[in-house]
Amino acid sequence: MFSFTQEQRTYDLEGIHVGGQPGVHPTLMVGTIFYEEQFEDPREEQEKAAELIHQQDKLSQRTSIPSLVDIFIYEKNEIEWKVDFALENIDGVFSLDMPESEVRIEVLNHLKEIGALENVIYNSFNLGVTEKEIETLKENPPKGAILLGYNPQKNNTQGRVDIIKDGGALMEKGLLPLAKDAGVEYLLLDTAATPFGEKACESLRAVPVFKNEFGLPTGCSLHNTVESWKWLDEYESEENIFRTLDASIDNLPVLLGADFIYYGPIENAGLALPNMAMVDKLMAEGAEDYFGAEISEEHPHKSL
Amino acid sequence: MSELYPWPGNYETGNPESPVAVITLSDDFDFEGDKVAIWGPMKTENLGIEKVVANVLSNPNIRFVIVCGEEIRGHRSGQTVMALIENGLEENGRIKGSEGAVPYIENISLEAVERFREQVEVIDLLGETSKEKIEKAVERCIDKDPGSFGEPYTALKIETREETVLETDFALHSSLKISPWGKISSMEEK
Repeated sequence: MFSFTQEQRTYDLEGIHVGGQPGVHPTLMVGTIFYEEQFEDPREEQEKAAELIHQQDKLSQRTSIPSLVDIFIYEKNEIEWKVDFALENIDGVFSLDMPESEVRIEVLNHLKEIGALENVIYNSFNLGVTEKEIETLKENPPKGAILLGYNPQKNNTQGRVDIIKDGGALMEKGLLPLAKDAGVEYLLLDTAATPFGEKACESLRAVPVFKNEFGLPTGCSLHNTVESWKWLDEYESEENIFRTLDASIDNLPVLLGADFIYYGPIENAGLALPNMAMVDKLMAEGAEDYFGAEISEEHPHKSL
Repeated sequence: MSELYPWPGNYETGNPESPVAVITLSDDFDFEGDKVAIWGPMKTENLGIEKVVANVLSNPNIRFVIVCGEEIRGHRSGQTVMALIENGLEENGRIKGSEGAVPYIENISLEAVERFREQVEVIDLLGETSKEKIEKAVERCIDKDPGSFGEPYTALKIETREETVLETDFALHSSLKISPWGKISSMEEK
């Protein structure tokens, strides 16, 4: 549909290519595991978790839509076993989703200790970063990081750009120069999904703006917007409604050039990946027919 | 007359004369209609707290905010709302002493936040899930009700809306232009 005049960076995450001009590489889909209330006793249900990862892998092979696993770590006492779980069950790179700065710091130290910094996409580097965390990042930089463009003070597209670029009015320095200074190699930009009524559409508008401004792989996790939509509370027990809406909202950023999607609960891989194969196939045909783009070999455009 | 509880959210309402609001965090409790003015969960340490501040301010009879239920992991919204009442805001809108992920108040004025801090006393029952214990705390608050804080305060949402331009030569965003051939580039590029 579109092409950017700004050069677009592509990263090779152990065989998974993310970034570049729209349509060229399939969209990287990231499914989340160990989120709140997924399992009654997560530590005791690791086999179930491993099976879900296996299912996502199988769907990736079938659809040519690449995927990664995003593992939630809420508390310090979960770090060791969840990282062990990831290393045992995942080949290559995985994403660690850590809402709290103190937990992120401990994770970095642990990864350094066991030599696993190269395996990790750090999710996320955001406005809540502390001085101590920045120092730890410089000492122990992970291979990659999600830079989150959330700006509560100015949540239009420009505000989201500001947080990444120079920190706007809230930070002394932007997340991008901070991550570069720390030595993070793979810089993935997240336009920051916000609820309806909180400029939700700016998460979409920011996709082409980020790609034009920074030339880096850009994505988002709009399933969060769906899940905060209050009227759906009455359908709380009807998972199919959420899963369908979660999958369909992911089509929109990809149409505007997004390179990766955090699609939410990994259980939704069965809908999310085939859905994305359909969208990517369409995007690839458009890029090839109209812009003469050379579509990558591993792509539903060629395999499906 | 000003509107009671003007900010939409996930809450239930009871007796507007009651001096008690209850934040149930990740839990769902129900309360007898005549004991509690407003109650409900609160997920986020930024937008969620702003809704609580605005709605509590609309009812000056509310003088106590009970924070109970299981904490929201990662967000630490319960600890954060207590830190707000205890410490207030830093210059850039960050809630002083919060352990939450992104604890910023940006859509509501400093005046509103300060009035909220003056109007209510926080009752720390963080982690408490026994409804019986929470109801006892509600009773204690009712017993020591200091009376109305005065006139209702309407907290307006600070809007940062960009000016809408209907007749323009840009698409998508003012920093971008899309050529007739579908190429996206910066507005200043030739």
